[in-house]
Amino acid sequence: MSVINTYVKALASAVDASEAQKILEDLEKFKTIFSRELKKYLSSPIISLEDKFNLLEEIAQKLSLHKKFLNFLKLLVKYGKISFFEKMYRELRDILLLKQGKVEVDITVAREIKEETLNEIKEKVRKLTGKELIPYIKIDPEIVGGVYIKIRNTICDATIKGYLNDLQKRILEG
Amino acid sequence: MTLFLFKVVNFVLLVLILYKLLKNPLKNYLEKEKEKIFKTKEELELEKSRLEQAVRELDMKIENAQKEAERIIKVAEKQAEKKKEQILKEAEKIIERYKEALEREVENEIYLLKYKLKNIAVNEALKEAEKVLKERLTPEEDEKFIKRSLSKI
Repeated sequence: MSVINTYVKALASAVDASEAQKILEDLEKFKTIFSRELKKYLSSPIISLEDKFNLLEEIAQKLSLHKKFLNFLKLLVKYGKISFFEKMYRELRDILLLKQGKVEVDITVAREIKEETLNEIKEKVRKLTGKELIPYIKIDPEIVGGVYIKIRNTICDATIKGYLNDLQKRILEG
Repeated sequence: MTLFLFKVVNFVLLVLILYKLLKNPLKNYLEKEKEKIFKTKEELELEKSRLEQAVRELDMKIENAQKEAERIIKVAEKQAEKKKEQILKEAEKIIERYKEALEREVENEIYLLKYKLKNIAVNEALKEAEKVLKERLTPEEDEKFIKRSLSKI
């Protein structure tokens, strides 16, 4: 994970807020074409680095990728880390969003809730993060009730299911 | 008659001459022989006493060897007894340790069973609680729960 973070942070530090949106779009574009075959080609030790770079240049031209993103991809290929691209994607996306003052939030509830309650949740998270939210609302009856909030690596489990699990743990440990 | 007498006188003279001539050498010879016999007798007696001494020493050695053998047997018996006691003590210790380990194992097993039973009971109770809550929790109650939770975050 630290290896992934090193590359992600390197790109993030090279990108300023004005470029973040373009890099984010490039990230999404490249993710859609990053097939198993492409991954295999770019990771292959038989194919020369020059051929791999040529292919990346061609892709960059067709997808109109930002030069910084292209350089990032070249760096991953050069140091044999391109196979970790999928793992880097989420982290990179989060960092680029943060650069724009945005944060993705997964909000899970057990059933449809009133707009007013949903807004309360969003407001609470916005206050906690100090960022503009990109919320993803999910309905999962398995949580029984309450709300489950996931902001990047931080989880706030305020569900009835979570409460029951916690209760179970406390009884068994006690 | 004269001839006979002459022969007798002649014989007596011969005897006397022989006696005179042979007395001392014969005496000396006999003395020497006697001395030899005495010496041989003394030597034989000395040899006899030496042999008797040797026999006595041998008897003593046999006796000593028997005593040593008895002593060794006694020591060996004592050692065997000691070893036996030691082995028995060791065996007792091993049994004790095994017993303790067994007791601990049984205790652990009981604890594990209790924990499993508790786990099953808690799981069942919570499953039931979850089921009841799923059936009975109204949307209004859920929203209240969410709001209350939000205030605690």
